[in-house]
This record gives sequence, structure tokens and C-alpha cells, in this order.
Amino acid sequence: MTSPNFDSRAPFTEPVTTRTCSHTFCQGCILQALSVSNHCPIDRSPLSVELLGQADPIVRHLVEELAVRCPRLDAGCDYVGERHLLGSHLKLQCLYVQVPCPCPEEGCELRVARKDALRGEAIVHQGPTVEVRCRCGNFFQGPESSQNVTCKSCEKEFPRVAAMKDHLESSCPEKIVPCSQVENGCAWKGQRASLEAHVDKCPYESIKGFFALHNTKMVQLSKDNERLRRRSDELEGVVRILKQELERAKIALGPWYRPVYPVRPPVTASYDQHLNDEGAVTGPGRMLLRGMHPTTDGTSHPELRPQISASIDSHLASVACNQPQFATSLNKHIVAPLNLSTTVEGSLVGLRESLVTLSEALESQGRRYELALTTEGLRVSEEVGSLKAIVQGLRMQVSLDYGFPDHISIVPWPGDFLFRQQTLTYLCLWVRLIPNTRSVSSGDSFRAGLLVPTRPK
Amino acid sequence: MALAYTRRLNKELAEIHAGTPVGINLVNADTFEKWLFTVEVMGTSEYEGEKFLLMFRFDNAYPISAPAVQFVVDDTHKAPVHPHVYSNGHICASILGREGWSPVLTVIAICITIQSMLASCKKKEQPSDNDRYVPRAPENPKKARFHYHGTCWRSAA
Repeated sequence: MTSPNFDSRAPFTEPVTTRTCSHTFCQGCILQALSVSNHCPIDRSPLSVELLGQADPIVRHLVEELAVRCPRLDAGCDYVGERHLLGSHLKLQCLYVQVPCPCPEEGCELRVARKDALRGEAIVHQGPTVEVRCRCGNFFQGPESSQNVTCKSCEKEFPRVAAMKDHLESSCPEKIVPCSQVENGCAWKGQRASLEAHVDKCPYESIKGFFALHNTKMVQLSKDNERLRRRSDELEGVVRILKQELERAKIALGPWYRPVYPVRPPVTASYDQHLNDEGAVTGPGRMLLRGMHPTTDGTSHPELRPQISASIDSHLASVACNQPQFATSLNKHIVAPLNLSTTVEGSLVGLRESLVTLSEALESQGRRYELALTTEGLRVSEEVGSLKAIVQGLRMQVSLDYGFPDHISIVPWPGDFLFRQQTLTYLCLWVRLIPNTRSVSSGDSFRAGLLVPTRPK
Repeated sequence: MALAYTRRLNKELAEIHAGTPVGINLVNADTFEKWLFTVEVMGTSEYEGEKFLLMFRFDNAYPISAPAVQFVVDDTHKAPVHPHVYSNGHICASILGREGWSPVLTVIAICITIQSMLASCKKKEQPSDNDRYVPRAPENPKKARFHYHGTCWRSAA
């Protein structure tokens, strides 16, 4: 049943699937094919033995459940059953499979069909006459003696081996048998005839009731044991999972994790000291620390706590340094330090409030900047105004000497049109260094002060 | 081990008896050593009306190893005139060589491949090295070494 025939239309035996191209083959077939080539037989993609894996369970089950006939069909076996049961059928049941000859002599190596072996006879007992020789050649008795078979223990004669065997096993009085309580410990052995006498005085026999009770109790206990063991394994698994989740939860909570059984007393002093060393935050803005603190045993990640407060405090310190003119106002509206004495929720609320404060501070700063800019802008325009007046005066002086160039088009400029023209005419005399410029139409967007004189046509 | 190839050939034979493609017909499959088929090219082609006899020989490693396939050349049959078919009936086709053969290919698949190889031929001509190859050719085409050269397989017997 296991010889490969590489017929991709026949049901697989031990199906395997390639990991790269997902093609399925019998294990034997593909191993054979791979020994002569190195590609998949179906699509020629590169393939090697390492890339084979067991086929999907569904394929295996489909193949296992196929109805097959017994391979000893020609010998007469008409068994039909699921493929995966065939192995045990052949091993234990099939009547047409060869098994060792049951003849009582040792050393007989003949094999006979199970159907004959089950009859309990050394074969070739055919017809009314009885041969005393097993087909393997073993003699039960010398050829010159009678045709009967003798019992080994009591020398009684029987016509048939089966009867002799039967006699030997169940009724021969001379045969050495153990006590019926041999499983419970009785070590007596003797002839069957004297068994009854022994049983009357066998101590194990007299308490056999106890043995029976004891045995049932033991069986019950083992069953219970088994059940409890399984339960305990399950619970261990559950505990392991819970432990893992707890670890993760602890890490997530960080300093806010409070174990049920704190290992060491809370360490208040170091926390206060730490904040004072930072020096960034003092004053009315700082919230008071209450009694309970995060524990400092190994499980609560103490390194996180100083880091969190350190990072926030140092940030605030740097903020304070960069804005010296606003330092005082910031210190008044300062963000409270991370308060680790409340719950997670409390800390988050505190943080939010700090954020609100910060944004307000930011807004007011923005407003201040705007104000400064506007003032600056005003000043600049005043200056420009005065410059314009000066230039006007200069123009008056110069116009007496030079006259008025013709083709000037001016980029829009806020203010009086005529005034613009007059003013900038003279500015462009100073920009005569720029040759080949073209006029720019007044529709263009305002570029601060850029003017483009034309060449006279 | 011999059992393996007979089981596979039996299965193929059952399918062949159930029906072969048009133009391909079984002539003889009495033994497991040698099978004979006739191959005709259907429709209009250079080989219209011609019938060829194709011989398959199997060894006991089939289907892991390819069968030996050739056209029969005798009094009643000739090899087709085709750039990949030598005048002694040997065929150079990639699927019949060691590198091109796959165990999922069947006898019918080979017949169809050869049929289409003939059908797609535009010009009837012999292979360029036909006269060099045929006198030296081994009896079994599997023993001849074909290598790919340009657009056509050429023999290096």
C-alpha cells in the first residue's frame, strides 16, 4: 500500500505539500522525484526536500476516510473499510493473513492463514485420520506409536491436539498451576489436583473479599487522581496566563501600581529630596504630597518614577530659562509637578489642567508678540513717511535742473498716485544701473518698492 | 519497485480506453514495455492527411524517468519532415529530456505535445544536422544528448 506510483489522480498516501507552490504529493512519490530533479513536477518551480511540509489536515482526513478493500481480496477476504483502519485489520483481524503456526512444539516457523490458526490445530488435520506430524515437520509422537496425542503432564491420550490442549489448560490434574490468588501475592504452585486443598488453607484466599474491595478503591482513587491532576494542570495554565497579564498591567501602570502586599514601607523622604534638588519648581503652585506613595520594591519599576518627574521638571526649568522676561509670570502659573500620590485618573486630570494653563500662557505670549510687532510696524511706517517728505523736498530741488522723463509706469504703491510718480521718478535715476528692463503693468501684485523703468521707445 | 510503474501504466491505459483526443489513437498496448499510437494532425497544416506511428518505451523507473519516444520508420510509416524530427524517427523535444520531464506528464500529454509541435510547423524541413546525427544515432533516443542551441534543440550525439 505504500509503494508510490506517482499518479496524481490517485488518492495520496501520506500527503505532503510544498511550502512554496502549495502542491500536494504522496511523500514517497515526491521524494523519489526529488532524487532525480530539483523542481516541482507540476510547475517546475525550484523545490527541495526541506520545502516539504505535512499536508493540510483536511487532505489527510479525506484520504484516510476513503473506503478501501482488504489487499487479501484474492485470498478470500471481503473486508471493506476506511483506509486508516486497514493497518489494524491486517494486523489483528484479517483471516487470510499469514500468522505463525500454533502447533505446540517450539521451533516451528511455519506460517499459516489466521483462519486456520484460530481453529487451534496444527494444520493438515484433514479428514477422519489424524496425522501426528505438523506440516512444519515437528513430531508429537514417534511414527510407530498410536495416533493419539499425549498430555505432557499426566500422560493421558487424546485423539486430537485441540482436545489435548484443552485438557491441558483446563482439566489436567497433573499440570502445575499457580494459586488462584497469584495476582494478590500467593506464591504457591502445585498440581491442579492439590489446588483445592491449598485453596482451603490459602490465607490470600480467605481475605479475597478484602482484595476485591481494595482493588475497587484503588481504581477509584487513581481515577480521582487523574482527574485532579488534569484540573491542576489546567489551573496552572490559567495562573500562568494571569501572571503574564498582571505583569503587563503593572508595566502599563508604572508608578501607580500598588501591590496588595507591599514589600517595603513607603519611602517619602527620597521623593521630596529629589524634587528639591531639581529646584525648578517651588512656590504656591506645587501640590502637597499625601501619605501614600508608590512603593519602591523591585516590582514597581522605580526607575520610571524619577524619570517621569525629572523629565517634566527639567522641561519646565528650560522653559523658564528661555523666557527670562516671562519667568516671573510663568512661575506664578506654573504647571504642577507630576503628583504620584493620586490615582491615574487624578494625575491625568492634573496634567490636563497644566495643559490648559500652558495654552493660556502661550496665547498671552502670542498676543504680546503681536502687539510688539504692530508697534514696530507703526514706527517703521512713520519713518517711511518722514523719508518720503525728505525725498519730496529733494525732488523739488533736483527738478529745477533735469526735467521729467516720459515713459514710466509704476508698480502700485499705497498712497496718492501723482505723489508716487513724482517721488519715484527720481529714485529710478539712481537705479540706472539696471539695463534692459521692461515695464511691469500695474496689474501685478505689490512688491515692496521694486520699480521697473522702461526704455524710451 | 516494478509494481509501481505497472500500476501507473494501468491507470493511464484505463484513461486511454475511456477516450483519446482527436487525431491520437491507440494501436497496441499489450505489454508494459512498448506502446504504439498513431498521430495525425487535424485541420489545415503542412501534414494534412499524413498519419504517423509513435512508439513509447518504458523502463521500470517510469514515471520518475521519461519514456523513450520516437516515430517508427519502416515500410509502411515514415517520420514526419520537421525541424525537430530526425529521419530515423528521433524527436528532440524539451519534455522528453531529463531537464524537461516531469512525473505528472502522461503518455497522452506527450502525444498532444508532439501533435501540436507538428501542427505549428510552418515549413517542412529536416533538422540542420540530420545527416550528421542519423548515422551515429544510438538506438534508444534517450541515450542521445540534445542541447538547446538558439531556437532549436540540436543533437550532440
